[in-house]
Amino acid sequence: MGELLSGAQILCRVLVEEGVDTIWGYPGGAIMPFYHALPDVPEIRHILVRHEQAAAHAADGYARATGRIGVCVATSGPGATNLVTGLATAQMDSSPVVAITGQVPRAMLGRDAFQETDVVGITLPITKHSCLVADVTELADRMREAIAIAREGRPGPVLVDVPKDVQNQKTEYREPDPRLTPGASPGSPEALADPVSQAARLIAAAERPLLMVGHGVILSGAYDAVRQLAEKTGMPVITTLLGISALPASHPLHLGMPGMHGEVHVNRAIQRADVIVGIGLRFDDRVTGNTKGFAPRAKIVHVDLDASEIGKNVPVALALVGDARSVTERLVTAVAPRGCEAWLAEILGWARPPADSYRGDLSPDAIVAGIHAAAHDRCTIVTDVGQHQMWVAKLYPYGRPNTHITSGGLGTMGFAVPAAMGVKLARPREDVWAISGDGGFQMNMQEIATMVQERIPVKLAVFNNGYLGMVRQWQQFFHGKRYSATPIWSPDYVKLAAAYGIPGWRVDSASELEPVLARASVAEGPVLVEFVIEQEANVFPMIPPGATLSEPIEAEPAVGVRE
Amino acid sequence: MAYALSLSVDQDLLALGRAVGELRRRNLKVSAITLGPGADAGQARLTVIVDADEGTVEMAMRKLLKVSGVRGATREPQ
Repeated sequence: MGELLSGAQILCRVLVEEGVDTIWGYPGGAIMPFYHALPDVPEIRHILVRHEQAAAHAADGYARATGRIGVCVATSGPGATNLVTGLATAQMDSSPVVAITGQVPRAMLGRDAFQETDVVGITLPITKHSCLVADVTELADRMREAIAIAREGRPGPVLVDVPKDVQNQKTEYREPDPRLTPGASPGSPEALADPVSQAARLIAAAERPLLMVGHGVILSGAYDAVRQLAEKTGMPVITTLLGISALPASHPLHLGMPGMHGEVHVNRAIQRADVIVGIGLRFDDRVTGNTKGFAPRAKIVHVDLDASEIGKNVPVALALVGDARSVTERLVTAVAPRGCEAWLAEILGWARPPADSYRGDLSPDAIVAGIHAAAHDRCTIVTDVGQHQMWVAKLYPYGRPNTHITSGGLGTMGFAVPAAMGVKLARPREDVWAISGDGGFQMNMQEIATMVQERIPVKLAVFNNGYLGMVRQWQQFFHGKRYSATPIWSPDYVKLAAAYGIPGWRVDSASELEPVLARASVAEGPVLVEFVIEQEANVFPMIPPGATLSEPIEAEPAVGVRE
Repeated sequence: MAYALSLSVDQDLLALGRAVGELRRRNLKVSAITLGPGADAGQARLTVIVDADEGTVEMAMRKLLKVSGVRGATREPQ
């Protein structure tokens, strides 16, 4: 006879079994049995957030920083629906987030009970897996299965919805059956030997080969293999937004980021390449621009764990379906040593400094350089979404793998502040900067209270230009400078910091950067630094929506309206 | 062109919902959809007639094979 446990105790027990030590959540009526059981589980630290969206983002940040699952908990109804943006963010960026939601008792299901919502239905398209567990005897196995699904293959979020009465019911607890491999998907694709040799032959025969690496390289830890492949072949390397930090920015073969805000020479290299080896990226529209004109001369070799990504956005000459690390290691063995010196020199010859549209003293370049200098590269940068995200992605000289964390696919404003809490708990011995614009920061700035209460010393940076900057830039370029609903007022951030009891500084000029960042760097708790930047600074270059990578805007265009 | 997609799906509404949702989000033109017993216990056979080009159907099939609860999928031109 096994131990008799309640459903709530089983949830906790499975989390401990799975090695979970930190969870993020917010209690409420339908999840109260779980919170009643939690204090008896010292292995798990619970972080009380101020909004459930932050719980999902924090769990996501924790998962991205550790490679393990991140867990968030919410009650039924509004608690559960508040998780939605965080789950969709995790889905788009392949992050293994496990959400546990309370649900109204089974007898109340479908009766529009207080705080009842069909969260399993709501999250169907934005999770890898979701289920309502109506039988307590199945709860342990369903939780284990959900966690396995979140982790295996291409990671992604899952949601387990547990009615309150199921949390209270008791049943015999069964240890996991080691014979079972829950969640194993049938027919998981594997790379074949033949395509690896074909890829090696394509690389050997290419005159202008390129290596494009994405988030899959970070997820699989393929950094060394990618560097070896680049160095053995001399192929120049491009890193997508989520692939940044897969190769040190200082590496001589590293070109930078492609796509909508990629440098002109990077995008031109794509357009001129004859072979592109894409590893762990999905050729999304922000990378390709108009796919009809993407890499017109290139044969594309696509390495991806997810067979459904092959040929989804761009035609692929050769597919290698498998884990980025193992396939790349096999490629390293298969390729013949070669160099691409002339091709690299040609690309670098196209490089030119970006248009200097900055009229103020405190440029994004100076701020990013200042943060890097203060942190001595012992830090992880978590960015929000918008202009600052692009400036940091392009300018920060990342030296170590997986030190750049951002919301890529969904582009979730408000991500940085809560996600940085998760990253900080995962990496307590290094600085974690959450860099936001004044728009995104105000979406989740309530989490400063969480940082204070739970002693999570995230360093907060706000690029304040008084606008929703990226939307304003589009309005300037494509909508006749009609700044509709983009001017945004901010509170006094120094006073806001004081209200939360943390140090806060406002930086108005470049001369203040070094002393303020030095003080922020040595502060022990959370800090907030506001950077007051030029209101109408733009991110250059920019590929207009619908255009190809060959059509960059490199300086402020004439005012007009683009359909 | 019309294709018959034949899916082996876990016999529960959640798995069916996920499978049909994958077709719905692609806005595919569906002219028939039927559900019957599957070859194995606990499995159902979902047959969907869609009107789409081969590339679209191929991408939909790959996505369907990723869906939790979908155990297999085949397609036949009609």
